[in-house]
Amino acid sequence: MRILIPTYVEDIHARAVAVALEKKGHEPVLWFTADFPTRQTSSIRIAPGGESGWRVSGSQLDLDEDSPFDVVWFRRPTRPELPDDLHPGDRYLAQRACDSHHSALWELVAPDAFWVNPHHARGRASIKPRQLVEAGRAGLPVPLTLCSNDPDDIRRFLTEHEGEVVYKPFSSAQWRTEEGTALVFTTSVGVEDLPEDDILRLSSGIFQRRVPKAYELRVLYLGGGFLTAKLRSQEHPDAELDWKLAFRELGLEPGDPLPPEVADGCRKLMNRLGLVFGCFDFVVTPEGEHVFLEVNEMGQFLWLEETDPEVLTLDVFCEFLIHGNGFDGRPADRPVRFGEIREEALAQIEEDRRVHVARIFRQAADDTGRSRDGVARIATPV
Amino acid sequence: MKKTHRQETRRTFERRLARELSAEDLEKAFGAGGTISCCGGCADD
Repeated sequence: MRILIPTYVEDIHARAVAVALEKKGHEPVLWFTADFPTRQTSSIRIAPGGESGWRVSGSQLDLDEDSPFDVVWFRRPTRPELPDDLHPGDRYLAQRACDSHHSALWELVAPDAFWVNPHHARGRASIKPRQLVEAGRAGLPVPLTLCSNDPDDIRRFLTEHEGEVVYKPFSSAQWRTEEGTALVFTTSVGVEDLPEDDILRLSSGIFQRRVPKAYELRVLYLGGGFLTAKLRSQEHPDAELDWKLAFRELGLEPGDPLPPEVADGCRKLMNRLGLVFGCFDFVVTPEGEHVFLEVNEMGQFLWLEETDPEVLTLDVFCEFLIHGNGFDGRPADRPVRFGEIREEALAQIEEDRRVHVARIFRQAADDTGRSRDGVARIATPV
Repeated sequence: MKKTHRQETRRTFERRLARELSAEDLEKAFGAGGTISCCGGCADD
């Protein structure tokens, strides 16, 4: 099979999966989207009657409408990267034009392939309130939740559930600081923590009634099949509310199969969201109830296998790409293990860095006041 | 420019909840910089 993987140069997941697929006799093609426009050119041709063609070439890539692909793993295509010496007055519009060109390409590339995930569905599927609503409708338990910037609603929620409320941002919230980075993790909040109303209403947030935890699950959904890892988050004092705070020290192991009603709920939810792959986060309560928190449509999974080599995420994910919908979640008889190909994948990334445009980590939220392009010059400390 | 009380307090609730991590803390916590991380790397654009 031929598998197209739009992504960025430093993506260890993409490179490891590519190495594993090659070992299984398949042909992965990595497309580093940041190479456009400085190292790649692209054309889209449209003729009367709607006949169309496209081409992308440069930096070891030459693709067009006749390039057949069985699968598109829409991994993490990054935005086109413009050069630093472009006049700042032109940057915004050039970026927008390049972004629009890429958006058009995704409409034309490999329309008959198995897309992981269908690109039209990704954006809407990642809206957290929508996920919670649809999960509830699919029969999965969800936490009592308030998404709000209304000070009265927020105070009322915190008062009604005093001592039991956690705060989560709508999306990853991080700022560059002089010393490093500031990040928002799931945090316990009470009425006494709230700022003045005119500050509180400036940024909508997610407030949830805390769910008692026995442990947590990270579940890979793979075309109807599952791979489950049990996260022993309650055994580490820093990980109780948010296991990301003790990510490197988290105890984990292969999880048990999901209860049938939970598996069924996940399948219904993914159908409603239009997704074929995702990483679910569940809390399992002391009573054994599986409470849905969220599903990341392109979540990371190799860290599970890196922590416990018996959680065969790499091989199972490759088998999913190969088998598509209806996949049963099982690894191959002779699985490719991440530990066996890790160094080879990292060496290939180093080679790629010499040829391709590196991913630029650009934080819009910046306390230092040094953001490029006039983006988000947030109040500085002087 | 002297920091004023109003500037000091005009941070969102979200920002006030953020935890300050040094570059070393971040690397230790998430393996940022091309290695495996749980969410794909902080400082995402």
